[in-house]
Amino acid sequence: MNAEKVVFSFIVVLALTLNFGFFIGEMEDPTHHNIYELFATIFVNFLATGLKLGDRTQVGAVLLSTSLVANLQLIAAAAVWGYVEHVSGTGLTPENTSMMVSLTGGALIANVISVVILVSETLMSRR
Amino acid sequence: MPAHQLDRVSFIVLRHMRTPIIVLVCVYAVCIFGMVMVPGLPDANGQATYLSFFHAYYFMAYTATTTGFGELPGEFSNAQRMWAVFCLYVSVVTWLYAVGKIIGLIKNPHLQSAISETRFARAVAKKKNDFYIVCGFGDTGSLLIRGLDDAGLSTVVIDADDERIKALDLRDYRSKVHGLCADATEPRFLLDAGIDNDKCIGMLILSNNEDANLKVAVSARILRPKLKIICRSTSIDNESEILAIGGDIHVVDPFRVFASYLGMIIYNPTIQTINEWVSGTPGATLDHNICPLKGGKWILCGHGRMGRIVYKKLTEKQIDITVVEPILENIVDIADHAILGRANLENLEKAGLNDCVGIIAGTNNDTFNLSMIHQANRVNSSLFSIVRQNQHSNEILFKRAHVDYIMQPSLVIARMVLFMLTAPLLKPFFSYLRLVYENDPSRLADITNRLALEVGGEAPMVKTYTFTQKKAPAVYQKMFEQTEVRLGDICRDPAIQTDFLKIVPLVHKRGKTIKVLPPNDLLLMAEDEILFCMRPSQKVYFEANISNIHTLDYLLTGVDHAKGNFFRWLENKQTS
Repeated sequence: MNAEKVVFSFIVVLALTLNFGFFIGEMEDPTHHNIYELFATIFVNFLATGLKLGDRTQVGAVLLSTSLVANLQLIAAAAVWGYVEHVSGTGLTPENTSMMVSLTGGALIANVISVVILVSETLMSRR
Repeated sequence: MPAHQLDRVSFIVLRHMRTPIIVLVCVYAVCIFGMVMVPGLPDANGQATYLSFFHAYYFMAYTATTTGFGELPGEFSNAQRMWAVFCLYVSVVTWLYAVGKIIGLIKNPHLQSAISETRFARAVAKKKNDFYIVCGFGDTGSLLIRGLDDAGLSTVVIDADDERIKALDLRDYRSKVHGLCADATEPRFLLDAGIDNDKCIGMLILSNNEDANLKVAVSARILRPKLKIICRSTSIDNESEILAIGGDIHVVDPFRVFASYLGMIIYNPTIQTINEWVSGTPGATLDHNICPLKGGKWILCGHGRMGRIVYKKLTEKQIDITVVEPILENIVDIADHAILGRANLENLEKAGLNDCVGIIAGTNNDTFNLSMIHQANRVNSSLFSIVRQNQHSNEILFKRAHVDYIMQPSLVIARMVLFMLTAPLLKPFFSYLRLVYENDPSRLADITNRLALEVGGEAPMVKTYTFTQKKAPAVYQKMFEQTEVRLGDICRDPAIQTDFLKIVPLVHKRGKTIKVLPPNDLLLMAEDEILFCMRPSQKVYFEANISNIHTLDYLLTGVDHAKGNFFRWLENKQTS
């Protein structure tokens, strides 16, 4: 066991679980989706991206790209939220909420792929 | 180019940026979250307001980068201000840390060398014309590249000295010469320089390091079994090893080349005069020999590695020569022809300065060489002095000193390699001249006179032409039409057919047969190679002669035929 692996897997899995926690719930109901959870998801996803930098292997490249996809989707979701709250002023109507939540759903898929790769690589190494 | 080199740069950058990025992300997250959690001023109902994530991020964005717009969107509570103070210090320090890392990374010499290597490899891979790889950009390398550039040949350079590569960027070459500061003995850099590339037509290894040269030659041969390699070597052992590599390989030994040039100046001045003239040495003409005297005693100063070969060469030619050398071991074997000691006036006089015809200052120290010539000239001003110039940078001194002939080993080598590459047929020409000189010296004078009369002047142009469809379309077409084209015809003046251009064919090569100074009535055939010597101004006319069918037609018949259909019709009508 080594600390680097623990931290790395922890962050990658946490990114997925937080993302899932935010995503789960009624699509159109803003009370099912907590803004603090979105914030935490974005933060942990960014952190995961940072940890994945500088790996030269093929697997490392795929891991990094899944993270980048997740980041992109999450930032888009946060941007939607910020826009409806502060710019257009419409607030979290059912349409806006579902748009935002579906974007995080995309990020969730990317995070799932990331974790699948992580797990399968660990199993492959058989140590 | 191997892929692993391309992403080497991005890898280094990402590896180094990982920590700063993670730290920045964490600091931002903590600060933004805190900003959102800290209660702000109460609203109308007495309830504490909170910043939204968006506003908190906005606040952090301008605070962390020290822009400082103030308290936006509204006035802060004291609790928020306390947190803002914390955020400000932490985030600004983090930014400084990240920026410092980036700057440190840019200045990292490893990153810089990785960047320049990648750039160099890319530039070489993009090259569209044939090129030579030159290892070693010293005096010889730089003279050679200049010569190759003038001849329209492209080069790339590898040198271990960073300063030399920087100097390369500042040269005014016609085409850009790419250089890489690297150790050429590492095969990776040879790949960078495009040794695998089909466009690479030769490898010129010219550094002063014997072992490195050998290693580069071996790796080049392994990487490209058929490549032409020219390698500099001054040691006999290395030379045989280099030649053992096999394939198209040539060794140039600066000392031996220098010695044979020197021997030629003294023993065989006419050929050396032609050589200098063909090489385009400033001031070299065919009117007078460089060294006008033949018999007599000579003094040679310096009997080191080069001096030894010079002495041997000259003694072989029965030239009476006395050596002055300060190191005893160097002259043990020739003790009765040598004076022990430094080349000062006393020792030179002992060596017979007063009744000798010439002096050769051949040590590897420019200062000694200049000072001994200076002293010798004061005693015997009729002396013919030959001096060895080691450093190209001392050129000004040598030009001002009253020296009859300056020899630069680096220049000699560069010139030799240049002719090997641009005019390989010159070698049989000079072998022929030597043969003529030994058998029939008066014939040599005829040749010199012919060159002086038909080309003349200074610095002629030497160029090989191959009579193929592409290079000489007009001649090729005439051959195809079964019209006889003779060598003399294509040398005629396109203005007046009975006159000739200032051009002399030196060597003619057909298959493996080589004929020196081919006669004018030689019948041309396809694929013939001919080395011409001409005034540079005549090149454009000559090339028109062999590529413009109308011009060639006129040269062959003496009649300027009509070119357009109508006038041709008219002409036919008149004749019929």
